[in-house]
Amino acid sequence: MTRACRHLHLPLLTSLACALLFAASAGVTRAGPQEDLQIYQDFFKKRFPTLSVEDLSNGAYSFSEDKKKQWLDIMEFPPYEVAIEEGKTLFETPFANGKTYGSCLDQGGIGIAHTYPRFDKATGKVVALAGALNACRAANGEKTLSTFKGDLANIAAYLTSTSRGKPITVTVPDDPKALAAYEDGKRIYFTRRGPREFACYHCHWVAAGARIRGNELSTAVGQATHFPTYRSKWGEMGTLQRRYKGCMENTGAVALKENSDGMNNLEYFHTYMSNGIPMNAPGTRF
Amino acid sequence: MRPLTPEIKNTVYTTTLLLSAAGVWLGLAGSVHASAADNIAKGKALTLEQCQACHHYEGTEQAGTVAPPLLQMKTRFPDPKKLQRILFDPTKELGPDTMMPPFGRNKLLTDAEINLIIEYLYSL
Ligand code: HEC
Ligand code: HEC
Repeated sequence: MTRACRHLHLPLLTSLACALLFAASAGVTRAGPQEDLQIYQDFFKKRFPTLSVEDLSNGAYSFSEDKKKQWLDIMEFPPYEVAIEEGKTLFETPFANGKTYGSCLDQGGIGIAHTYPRFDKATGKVVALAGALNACRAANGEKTLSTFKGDLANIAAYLTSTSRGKPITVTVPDDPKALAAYEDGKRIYFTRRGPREFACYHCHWVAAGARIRGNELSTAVGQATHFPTYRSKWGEMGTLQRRYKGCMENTGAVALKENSDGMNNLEYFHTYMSNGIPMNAPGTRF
Repeated sequence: MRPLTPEIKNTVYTTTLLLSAAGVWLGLAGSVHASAADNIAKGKALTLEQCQACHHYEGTEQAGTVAPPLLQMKTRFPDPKKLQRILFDPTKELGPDTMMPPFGRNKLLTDAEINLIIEYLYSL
């Protein structure tokens, strides 16, 4: 048994957990995304028993009365409304060849944002919403755009607005490549980077709810529900990947490239963790 | 039943060289004839840059709450070597998954700076 556990390279394993793990692996259940989801969401429910999953989707504001009040004031006239309007117009404007974004997406793109990122069987890769819009442009002979901000973030604001309230439903189909993409995203999430050797996990998991300098830290579970987001600091909309880049660079690390496999896999894993929580996007942050 | 999280992994990065050059320069300035009070003041300034984001202690201005407060350091850490080791590489001293950065190992702080910080910590 000890040998079985050592073989798994899991230094955090206590002998009890190890025994249970060994029992489970000898039995029928196989560890997978669904089991992760249960463990991860339970962790935050136990850690913050007074917060609902909807509270988690309000990010750091659930940990500061003061900031929450300021935020609710801003939300009286949500700054993302303009982006939704612009995004809708852009979305409905045909490409030079007469086709539209809707032609590339299920249900013409309406009410599907909460199912992204998706695993694409044809390419064996994960596509995030902004990436799917860009792929659609390329397929229709249009030049590609930034997946961090600008037109695609505005279109994403419109599309997520048609999914608001729907539970996040990211699926990892029974395909070795899908599982590998999920596992890669998970690996990135738990990888230390930069000279301070922080992993996403450190700030948004173990330290969630506490403050780093003046900043309350939001929880890993729930974060993905409110993107794209209008951020006062940006003065415009930004996608999740834009925020990931910010966190990587703020800690002195080299950020992954937008719409790269790594970023898409990270978004896949990170959004999967919010499965079941109602979509609360577009969002506003300051 | 599995452990909560997978193993925390590490990546390679390239920024340390630059930082260490600046750090050596900073560390050398003034460590020769400095008085104890000077050292404590310098150590304090370094902690306000490097430590208060996470730790609370007397004199912090915008302390974080992710780490335990630094107090009664002399009583709790009578051996300065222990503090040196923590500041050099907390993944060895505090636990492999710790959030605290490896200030010495990654040359975010020089040995001289770490010593100034310890002098200051002992005044707490
Ligand atoms: C050293 C601390 C630290 C690390 C490491 C870190 N973040 Fe953050 N992150 C923050 C802070 C501070 C904020 C702003 C407060 C908040 O919303 O949590 C933030 C905000 C975010 C947000 C926006 C949440 C919202 O509600 O708007 C996302 C998403 C996010 N981080 C994801 C990540 C990911 C993914 C990683 C790893 C690649 C990461 N962070 C690493 C400190 C960190
Ligand atoms: C990003 C967060 C972070 C920063 C920055 C940080 N620490 Fe820590 N430190 C921690 C955490 C978290 C612990 C608690 C042990 C653990 O969880 O690994 C800790 C523990 C310690 C301990 C052991 C305390 C005890 O009571 O056992 C000392 C001493 C310490 N830190 C000193 C410092 C000093 C000095 C600095 C700055 C040069 C610093 N830390 C910067 C996060 C941090």
